[in-house]
Amino acid sequence: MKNIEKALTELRRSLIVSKLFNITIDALVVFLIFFLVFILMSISWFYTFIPTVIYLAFFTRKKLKSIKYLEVEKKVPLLQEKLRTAADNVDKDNEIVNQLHNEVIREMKLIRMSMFLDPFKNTMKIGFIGVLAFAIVLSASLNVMLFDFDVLIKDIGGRFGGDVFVSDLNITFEGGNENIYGEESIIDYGSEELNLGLNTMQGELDFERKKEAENLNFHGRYITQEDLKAISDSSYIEKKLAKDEEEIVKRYFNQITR
Amino acid sequence: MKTIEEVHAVVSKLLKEAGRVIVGQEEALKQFVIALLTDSHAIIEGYPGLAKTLSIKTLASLMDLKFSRIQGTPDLMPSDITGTYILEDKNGKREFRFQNGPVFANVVLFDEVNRAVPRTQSAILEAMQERQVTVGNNTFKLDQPFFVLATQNPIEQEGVMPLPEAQSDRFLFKIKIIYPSFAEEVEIINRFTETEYNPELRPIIKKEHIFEMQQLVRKVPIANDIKKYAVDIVTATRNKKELIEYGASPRASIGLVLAGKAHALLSGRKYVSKEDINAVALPVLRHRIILSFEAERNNLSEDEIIKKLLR
Repeated sequence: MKNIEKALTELRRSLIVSKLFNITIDALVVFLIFFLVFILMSISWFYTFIPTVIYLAFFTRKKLKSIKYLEVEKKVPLLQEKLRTAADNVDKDNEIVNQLHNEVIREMKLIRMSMFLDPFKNTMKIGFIGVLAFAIVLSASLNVMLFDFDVLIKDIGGRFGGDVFVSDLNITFEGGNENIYGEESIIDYGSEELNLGLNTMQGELDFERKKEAENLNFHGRYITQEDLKAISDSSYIEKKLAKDEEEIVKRYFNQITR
Repeated sequence: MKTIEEVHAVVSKLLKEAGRVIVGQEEALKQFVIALLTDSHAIIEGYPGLAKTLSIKTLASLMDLKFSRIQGTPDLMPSDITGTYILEDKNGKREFRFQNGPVFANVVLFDEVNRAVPRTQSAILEAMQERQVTVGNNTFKLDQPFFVLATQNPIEQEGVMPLPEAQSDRFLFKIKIIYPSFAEEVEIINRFTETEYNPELRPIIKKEHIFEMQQLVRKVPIANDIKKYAVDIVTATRNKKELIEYGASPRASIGLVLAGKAHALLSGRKYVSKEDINAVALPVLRHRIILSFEAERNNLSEDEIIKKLLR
């Protein structure tokens, strides 16, 4: 392999690395934007990978295909047209071509990797990533939700499926002692929705931070059998709640079903 | 002569030496050299009295080349150019001997080519293309290098027979000789009116150097992008129907790249740049396109239209 070939391969490799770095930063921005949007729409964050992977696949192919020596020549004017000529005539061997190859190899030392990493753009992107990360943490800790995407989908589905009345549905109990939810006999299904909010950032229930249940109107809502179910937290089943805490839960459910 | 630096130095010296005789016309002189280095021919167009003949004669002397001049007239016969058999009395025996015509030279100046009849014009075609002449059943090889420069007078159009497109396409360049600037004209007066100005010219380049340079020109590398740029310009002449009725042929693309290589070499560059292609585009294309009625109506010249195609 001639020296010029080695030098051009090395240059191409550096260009690929710089492109991949830029694409990775961009993909991270895309990931975080979708992450934030999905949290606000109450969509599982796992779905964020779909647009990110699509972005990565599309732009990696596009950017890697667009790697041209012209880009290097724009950054190093001394190599203007020379680099492309040397690359296009790499297989030729005569005195002028060899002189050109030697000259290009000498001038290629002026190429710096930093030339292809725009410091201003990258600083902006990293700053934006910081802002997005902060917004994600804040919205998750404050439990901010613009609208519930699942409910929206079900509402749309319900419109086509006809009205379902809450009193026609039976509550199901999964994974635990149903006594904890209070007396089934006193449960009175009404026309009001019970909305229990759980902090998604905390793994365990904090009984100290209980508040009055809000009454929401069921009017215009379409609910399914799946909506009416009670699932015991694994910590309750595995750890066994203390007697007095169990009482608190019972009392809580008794009160809210009164 | 193996390196670009050597060629650049020699040609610079040649042009400087020519400048001792010719005032101005640097661009035209450079184009003569390019045509010679690409082993091609050129048409020269210029008003009378602009030192067309003197320029060619000077370059031929500086390159140690045999120079001959043919004056185009309506009664000029092909045999006046190529030569003919003459009957010779030798030792009491009469035999035919071929008498070389003026075409048997290295630099042939065909003055006012458009005054010669087409039959005579085409007689020089074989010489230009094949580097040989055929008289009767015999073919004679011409001495190398062989360089034809045909001049045309742009003002006297009466009684002239313009070169057919097929014939003018065989010339690499159409070189326009322009009027000298005011200062140059004053210098011309100074040189040629005070004493008999006849500087002694010593050859700077030998024939073998010309062959070496011709080979070197073809070795100058060119990037694919620049090749495509040259072809883009030529194909654009075919697609710009509103201004150009007939565009240039692929021979123009070859000429553009080859002349670009020679221009790069003369500029001391080891590669062909877009600048080189742009520099030679006008002389390569101006005689290869035929303007549309629309362009003529708008008083546009070939050069103006070609400039529009350049980036």
